[in-house]
Order: sequence, then C-alpha cells, then structure tokens
Amino acid sequence: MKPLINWEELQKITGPPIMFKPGTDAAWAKNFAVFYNKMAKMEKFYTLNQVNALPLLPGDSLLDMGCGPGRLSVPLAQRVKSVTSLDVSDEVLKYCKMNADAAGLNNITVKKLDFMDAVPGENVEKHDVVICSRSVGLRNLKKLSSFANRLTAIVTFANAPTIPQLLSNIFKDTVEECEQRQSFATYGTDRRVNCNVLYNIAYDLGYEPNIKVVEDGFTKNYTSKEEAYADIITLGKVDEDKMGIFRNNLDKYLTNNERGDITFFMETRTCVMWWEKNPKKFFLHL
Amino acid sequence: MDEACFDPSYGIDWDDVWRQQLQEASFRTLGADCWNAGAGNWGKAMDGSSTSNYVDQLLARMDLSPDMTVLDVGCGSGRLAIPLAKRVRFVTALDQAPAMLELTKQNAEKESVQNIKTIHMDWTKARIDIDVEPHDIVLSSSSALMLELRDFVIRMDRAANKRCYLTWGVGANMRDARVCSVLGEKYLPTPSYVVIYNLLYSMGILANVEICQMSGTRQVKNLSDLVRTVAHRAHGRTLDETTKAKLIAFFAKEMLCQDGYYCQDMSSSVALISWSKFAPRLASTT
Repeated sequence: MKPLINWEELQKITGPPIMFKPGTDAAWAKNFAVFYNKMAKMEKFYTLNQVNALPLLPGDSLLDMGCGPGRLSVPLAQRVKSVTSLDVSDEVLKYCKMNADAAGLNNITVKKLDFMDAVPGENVEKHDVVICSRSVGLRNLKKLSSFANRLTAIVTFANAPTIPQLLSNIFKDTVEECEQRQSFATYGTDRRVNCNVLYNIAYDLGYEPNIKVVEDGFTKNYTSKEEAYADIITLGKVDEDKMGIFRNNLDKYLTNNERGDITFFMETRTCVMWWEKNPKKFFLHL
Repeated sequence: MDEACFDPSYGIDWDDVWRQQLQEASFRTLGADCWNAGAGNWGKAMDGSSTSNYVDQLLARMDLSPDMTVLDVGCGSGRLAIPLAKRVRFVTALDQAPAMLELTKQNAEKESVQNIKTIHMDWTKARIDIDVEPHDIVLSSSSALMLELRDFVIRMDRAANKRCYLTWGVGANMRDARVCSVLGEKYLPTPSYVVIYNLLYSMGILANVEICQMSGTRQVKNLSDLVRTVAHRAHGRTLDETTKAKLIAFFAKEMLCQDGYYCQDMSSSVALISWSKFAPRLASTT
C-alpha cells in the first residue's frame, strides 16, 4: 500500500532540535559532557528496561551510534561480544571510556565520528546490531539501518517528558535570564509526535518494526535534603535570590525513603523499537 | 504544535482506511455465515494434525496469572481459549458463529476444561457491562477481521481491566498471492497491522508491537479441503470445477506428500499488538 502520510517530512517539521552541535565552544562541550554523565548515572537503573527489551545474542557485535557517556554502551557490553561506541564529542567519549573501565569492561571501543560523516564499510564497519538513543541518527533511519547486519534498535522518549522538559520544571523561575535554559523553554515542538512518526518511518522503509514502551526515570538517593539541593543545582542555574523557588520546585521530586534517606525521582517513559534487516515478508497463518 | 491542537490521527480516518482495504482484499472471511460454513475445515486446526507453535508462542508472551479472567473475542475452535483456561481462573469465549462456538464446547469437553463459558455475539455491537462483563485480559487472535475496526478495539479496551492483546498477520500471504496467480487475478492483501497500530494511536493508545516468527506444519489428507478454505474466503466469487482442479494441481505441486498426507508449511510472521489499561493515554481529539 502507498503510504498515506509522508512521515519523513513530518519528522523534519516536528522533530526536536539536537542538543549537541559540533563545533560549539570547548567549555560548553565540557559542561555538556559533565551534565550528560550525571543524567545518565541517574537513569542507570531504568536504562536496564531498555536493554532488556532488545533481542540481543551473546555473540553480537554492536554499534552504539551517538553513545554519549555510554549510558547504553556499558550495560549492552555486558550482554554482547563487543561494542563500538561512536560520538561526535571527545568530551562525552572520555566519560564513556571512564564508565566502561569502572564497570571492568574491556570490550568497548570508543571512536570519535559524527553520524553525518559515517559511511558503512569506509570509516565504520557494519555490526550485527546498531543502536541509536536520543541522538541525531534518529533523523535518518535508512542510513542508521545501513550499518546493521542483523538488527537496528532505537531509543526515544515515549511521548513523555524529555530531559530538558523534566529539568525545566525543577529550574522554573530560578533565573531572570539564562540563554541555555531558554533553549529548554523554547523546545516547542510536541514530542508526542516523535515516537509514532519513527515507527511509521521504519515501517515505510520496508521493515517490520517492534515497539515496546518501558518505564523510565531519573533517580538518586541522598542522606539529606540539603545534599540533594546542592547536587541537583549543578544541573541548571539558580540566581542567589531564587534559592527558595528552586527548593520548592525540587521538593516535589524528593521523598523520604524507608531507610531514612531522601530519594530524588523524576518519572518518564521511554520506547524501544527494533527491526530485523531482512524481515520475513509473508504469513501463511490461517 | 501545542497540546491543545495535537491530533494523533494526523487527520486520517484509520477506521476508514481499514474498511476500504479489507473490502478490496482478495481473500477475507467476513460475517457469521462464512465462519459457520467453514467450521468443519477450521476445526481441524485443533485436531492434532497441525504442529504450529502459534499457541505456545502467544501464551509465552502474555502476562498471565492463575487468578485472572480472560475474554477471548473471536475464539474460533477454542485453540487459545482452552489452553488459557488451564492457566487462569476463568475464560469467556465469544464468537459470532454458533458453529465455531460448538467446536469450542466440544474441544473443551474433550480436554475436561470446565472454567470456560461461551457467548454468541457480534463483538462490534457488544455493550460492555450489559452484554459482557469486563475481564482482566481481553484477547483477539487474528479475529479483527471486521469492517468496523474502531468499534472492535474500543470494546476490547473498555472490556479490559488490565491488558489487551491482539494478533494480526504480517506482510502478504504468499499462498494467497500464488492462488491469485492461479486464478489469474491481481492479489490484494488484507490491511496491515500498522493500520491497527495507527488507529490505536489516534485513540490515544501507544501500543506495543512484537513481531513473532511462528513455525510448524499441518498434515492435509485431502487437497479438496484446502480448496474449500479458499472458496470460503473468496467472497462473492464462485470457483468452477476447472478452477478447483487447477488449484488442486497447484497445491499438489507445492506441497510435499508423505505417507498419503500433504505437508502444509505453517511458518508465519505475526504481529502481537498489546496495550495496558494503566499506561497514560495521549490527549485525543476524537
């Protein structure tokens, strides 16, 4: 059947902006990496839901396209034979390597490369599985799939709050003016369009895509509220005279846990999609 | 695109897309009369001559517990309802064809299954809470062969306390396609599972889709039985004796014959679409 909607065109006009732009100044890139690594650590527990959803084989070679600080590369490397982690940013790759070492993994290879410049067989080998999470590769699923011998997987927020949207609640009215935070506020486009559009793009490319929505969230334990304030404040900006507002905002995400500590928790949902390179295009079932 | 004007149907009447494609499909089984007439043939799926692992694969993927109640919409010969009844507290098996319900009853008796009740009803007209009580799980196994898909899935959703499961074949039915070439017709498949996925999305439901590979064979003693299943699904066309002879010759050529039985390949690819009653729904305009 001829597609009724040009989903790729819809993606172009509704897709979210890409957070990291190559060529940005070094200080920004460094800050971004620090920030991103903190967020990934807080998502560590829920990231396993995404990893567990995928039909991986122990002998798989896997390519993580836009790996960031290795949020997925590290738990994936514990399940497959080898992982190649690609990112455009040197700074996040340092964290990826560090996190791989900390997990005692020696089957992760990091490589600096922009998805836009990647060519299968030329500067990146094809892998059994290619995965792309919340990164620029989602903009071109056809190209992304061309790196896979068996399976392509993508991870995106499931019509649920993204990291910038979650943080904009915590840092609401905490600064008079802030360039970086404004980019959160002007995020604009409706992300609810996102995962459905990606599903249909994959289908129209001739794949039979699987989709699974999993619980997701960012969480961390602290010994006191003060400790939580001091840590979370590093994820955004707060004017000195706006500390009260920040604490009020953050309190909504803090609860006393059964051990007498404080738990920080921001809830969201993520969807994982995957498709085989050569799906069987038939059914004989009665 | 802000929340107020977000339209998850993208302006497309997916129900209408479904209806049109189903009406145009080369082969389909619509209406109780068709199923009543075919009961003799379809009942054979239960009689042990089939080794398809469809039932086992599906049961393995359903989240079931012994205290649950299950409603099987379009139960057919009971090939899922009966094994389900052995795993849960109670199964209600519903079908629009009395002859199919009779098969379910007979098969349940054969297996000494008593916690199963049959209901004769056209599901697209069922009144939930009046005609049918809500159940924990609502299942439709390849039974959404209805012109009114929206009415069909809305009722599934309303009748479920916990979760809905719906299966539908993936891709073109290659045997149907070859039968069409024997008949000298252009093959038009039944609508794709992606239409179901998009219809659900337009209703605010972000469903999971799992593409499952089923395998197995079925032994067929008499090829005219197979020709009869083609005739039952040929809606409006009558197969003359010459055509029937052509089809028998075609089946004889494509199937292995051993010990007087023809071996029919039951390999298939099936989309298992499921959704939870607890997951947040999108704001729907419809």
